[in-house]
Amino acid sequence: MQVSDDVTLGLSFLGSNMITDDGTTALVQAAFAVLTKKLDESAIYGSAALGEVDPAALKQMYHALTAVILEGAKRNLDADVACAPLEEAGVPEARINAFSTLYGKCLGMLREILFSAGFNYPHVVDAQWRLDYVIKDSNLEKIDEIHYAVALITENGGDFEDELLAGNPATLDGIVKLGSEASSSHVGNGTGRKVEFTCSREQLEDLVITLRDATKQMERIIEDE
Amino acid sequence: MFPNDELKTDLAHLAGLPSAAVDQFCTLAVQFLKHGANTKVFAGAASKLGVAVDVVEASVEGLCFLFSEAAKLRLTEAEFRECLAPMAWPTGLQDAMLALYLAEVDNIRLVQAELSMTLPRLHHASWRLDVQLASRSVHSMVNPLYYLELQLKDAAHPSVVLQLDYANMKHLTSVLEAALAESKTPLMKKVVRNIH
Repeated sequence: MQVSDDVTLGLSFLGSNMITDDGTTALVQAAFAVLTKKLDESAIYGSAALGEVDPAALKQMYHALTAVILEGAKRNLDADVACAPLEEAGVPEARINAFSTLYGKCLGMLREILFSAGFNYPHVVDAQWRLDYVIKDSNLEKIDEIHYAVALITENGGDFEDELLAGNPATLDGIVKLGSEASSSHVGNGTGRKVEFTCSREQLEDLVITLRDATKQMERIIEDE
Repeated sequence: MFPNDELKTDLAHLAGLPSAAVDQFCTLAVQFLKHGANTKVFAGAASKLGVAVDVVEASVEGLCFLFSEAAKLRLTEAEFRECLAPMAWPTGLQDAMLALYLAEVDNIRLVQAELSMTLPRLHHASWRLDVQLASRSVHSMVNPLYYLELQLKDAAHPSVVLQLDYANMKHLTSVLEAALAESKTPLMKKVVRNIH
């Protein structure tokens, strides 16, 4: 993994005596907590465990850590590969272990969050329908047609962040079990628009056949593999 | 009541006209219903047939009304005959009128349906199966996705592109299958039979 000079500098601070072992652990935990939306960045700068560290150096270390974590998660690197920049910058093994344990725990969730930072078409999550029998209207008598109204309920991507922030805000002390409770859902909060249309029974039959075919295709691919 | 007295008066002239003229009036009336009225042709038709312009106008308008009302009520053959009976026309004229009505009733109803209120209507659905492999922020993933394009007859959103994952695709299919099954229940049949 290639890292910039800025990041290398920050990592070398992390291996120096500018910060204690406990301080490093606290900072690493905080960095993961912030990236997984469990904690606000202000918790780092106000934390007692990190109070004695020079603020400018702390910022540099924090920046370096987040860069390494995000790059590793983006590329789906294993914990030992993701740790390489820390080793190269001379960070002692005990401190690296704190990093790699948490990295392994958080990787899945980090990737889900990164995934939700993408964009997507409205994602259909449910459908509602209504069955009407049309009797007559202002211009026609004896219409006598079966008529379906369908509403597809969609969600838009990128809402994951709001959903997590809406949960309970954590503190630096309460984050040790981080990653174990990762949510498996990366879809949003259900605020997407409804797509509504009407169709005849024949049209709905066609639509169902089309969708069934689509489902079959996926099953066929899975079976082939 | 249909046919009313005004319609009877308007159509009273038809009995005295040559059948070729009546045919032409009927054709004009149906054309007006399908494509909109064109009153310019009245003067030409009147001079050709040697009758007053207002007679032509009243006759064609009367026929328009007759055909549109009959189509609106979707009169059967017998009902249509019954409705022509008070006009006391020769049988030949009645038969010609009936034949034209039966030939055009569906087309006229289509025009009338267009004038009615419409909800966004499904026109066509197509799908595509993709696997998303990476994005700017996440590399090396495998995320199978369906894209579903719905073409609607809806001025505001003529087409809409949606995505679904496999689980949602299965769910959507089963929900719509349930909807379809509901149209074949005894209740549905009972309603259709009793209203029809």
